[in-house]
Amino acid sequence: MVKSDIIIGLILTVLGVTVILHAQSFPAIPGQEYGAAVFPVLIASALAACGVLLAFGAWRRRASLAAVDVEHRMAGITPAGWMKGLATIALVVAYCLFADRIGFIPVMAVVLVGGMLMLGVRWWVALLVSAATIFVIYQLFVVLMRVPLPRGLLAPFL
Amino acid sequence: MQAIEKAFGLVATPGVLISVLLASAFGMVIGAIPGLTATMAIALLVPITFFMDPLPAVGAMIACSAMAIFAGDIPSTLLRIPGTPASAAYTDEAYAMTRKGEAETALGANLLFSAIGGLFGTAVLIVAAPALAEVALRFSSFEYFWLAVLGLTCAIFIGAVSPLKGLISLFIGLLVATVGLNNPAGVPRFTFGYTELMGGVDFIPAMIGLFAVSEVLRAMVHGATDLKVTQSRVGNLFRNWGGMVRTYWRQQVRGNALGTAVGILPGAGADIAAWVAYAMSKKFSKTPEKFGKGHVEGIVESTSANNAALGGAWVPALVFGIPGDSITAVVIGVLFIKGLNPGPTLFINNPESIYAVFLIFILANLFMIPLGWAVMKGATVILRVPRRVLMPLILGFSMIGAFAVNNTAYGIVIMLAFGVLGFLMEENDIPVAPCILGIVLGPMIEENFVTSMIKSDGSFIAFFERPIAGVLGVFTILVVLSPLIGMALRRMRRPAANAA
Repeated sequence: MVKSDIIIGLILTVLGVTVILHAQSFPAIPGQEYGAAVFPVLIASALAACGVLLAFGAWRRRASLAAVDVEHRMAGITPAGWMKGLATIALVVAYCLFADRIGFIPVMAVVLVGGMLMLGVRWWVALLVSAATIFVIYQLFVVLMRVPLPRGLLAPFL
Repeated sequence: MQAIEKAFGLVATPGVLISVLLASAFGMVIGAIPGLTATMAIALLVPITFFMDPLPAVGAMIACSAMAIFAGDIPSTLLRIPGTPASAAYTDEAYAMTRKGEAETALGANLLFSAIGGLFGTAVLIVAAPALAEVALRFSSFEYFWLAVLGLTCAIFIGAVSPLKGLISLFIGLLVATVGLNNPAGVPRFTFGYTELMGGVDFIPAMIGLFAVSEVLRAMVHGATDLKVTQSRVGNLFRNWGGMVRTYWRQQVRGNALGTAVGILPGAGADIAAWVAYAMSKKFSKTPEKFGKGHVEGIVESTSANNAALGGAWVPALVFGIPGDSITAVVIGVLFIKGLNPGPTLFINNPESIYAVFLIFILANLFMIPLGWAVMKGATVILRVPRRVLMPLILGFSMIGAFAVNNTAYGIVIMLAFGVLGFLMEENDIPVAPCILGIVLGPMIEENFVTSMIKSDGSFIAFFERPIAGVLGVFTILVVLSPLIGMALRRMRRPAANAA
């Protein structure tokens, strides 16, 4: 965990400093000392301080603990695992991009079936469960709660 | 009295009763599935409650969380996998009972004492909340600032593995809360020209991302394995209920009181209550050597405590608008969106709705026994639901839920961003609960902080000048320093022990 703590610590420090610099552009309220920038600057400073502490603490443990350092949980992720994680994100992004035009039913079907296939569910189970789920979503959100889920190409039929 | 009558009228409508019942069943099933937490049940439920009236919505969330906390005991007992973190304290004990063939006794004890604990917590809530509300009316921005800070501090420093990582999570949450126009100065902050960000980061999609989508991503990346159910049938659950109540009434009362007290503490909830209660039970037991080997005594105390904590957690939530745990944090967020601002004025302007909330609490704990019985009987089926099928479904419902809050794809984008953030945080042992507390409490802390600073002309001493504010402030500082004090005490004791 030493290396990841140092990296995270540095990222947080940079984030904190960036926020502090950006907050300087917030307009001051005339005659008022405590404007929009006070609180974000306070929080960002604290965050940056935590980042420094985390990185520094890990750096100091580095020598004594190097041999017995706990294996980082993310070290156990296989390349295939990473690909599946990215593919899941891609499925959600694709839904955002295409649901409006194509309609939520086909795109949601792709998300559900794709997700299940990635986890090793048999294809016919994936198809059946996805169909049932979309039916439930439709009844619950569209019929009952009147959420305007995009109909897209299926608009004439719904 | 009139308010109580009105409250009965409010609760006894088909809409409220049906939503409480359905939410109970939903919470029961989600809680029983290992790896799906009570908070996740709430996260998936919130978009639906969004379309309800305030009372059925709150009722649904209360019932759902109570059931999920209880149902977490089922996989904990049968599979040694706590369904929710609140069951983790006595998982080994309960599983040891299952191995001895006493699963029914363990599950029965969970059911009975969860319900009693829940009712006890509710009773305290009913008595304490209105009394505290009287006091809270006199609070100024200084007291509110310290209360909120105290809640956050407790959440981070009590029972945390690494307070530093908890702090990091909290500050990320507070920083997220500063996005948008919603600040005392009314200046758009961190919006980078996006009009969507003007209104701030939507809290519901963010929460769905942190609690549900992060879990889906973890399953995708690490792979989802199905679980083996050892015991195939659950027998008579009501065995020896009378005997257990008689033998363990002390443990039960202690667990109830402790759980409620921990729950009332802002920032500490059911998880911590269960751990403390289990440790306490062992310490005071006449037969501590039996603990860990399948002894029901510790289970009685801690399972009472975690459900009692739920009622306790609502005391600061309803009276001050300060969440006791991540579940009440979510509910408070929803109450604000619905225009029902929790706080002492709610007790004056709207006492019937407060009493109605209390009634729903009682109702939920009564529903728990039949529903719990049904779920335990069906446990072998529920526990076999494959996670591989479940995870994509959770993703699907999360996406629709995040969309439904404002009917824009922007909600899904927020959800995804926080899903990735939550995944990265948990993989690096940074807890996500302080982050959600920060998002909910951020605007309140900032407002009270800035108002106080303006009132006191920038003097930080003013934060300690009013008596209650001073006590709260000192208490907060003590909690922050508690790890250091503990370390110093250990250092002082060690040389003494060596000398002896």
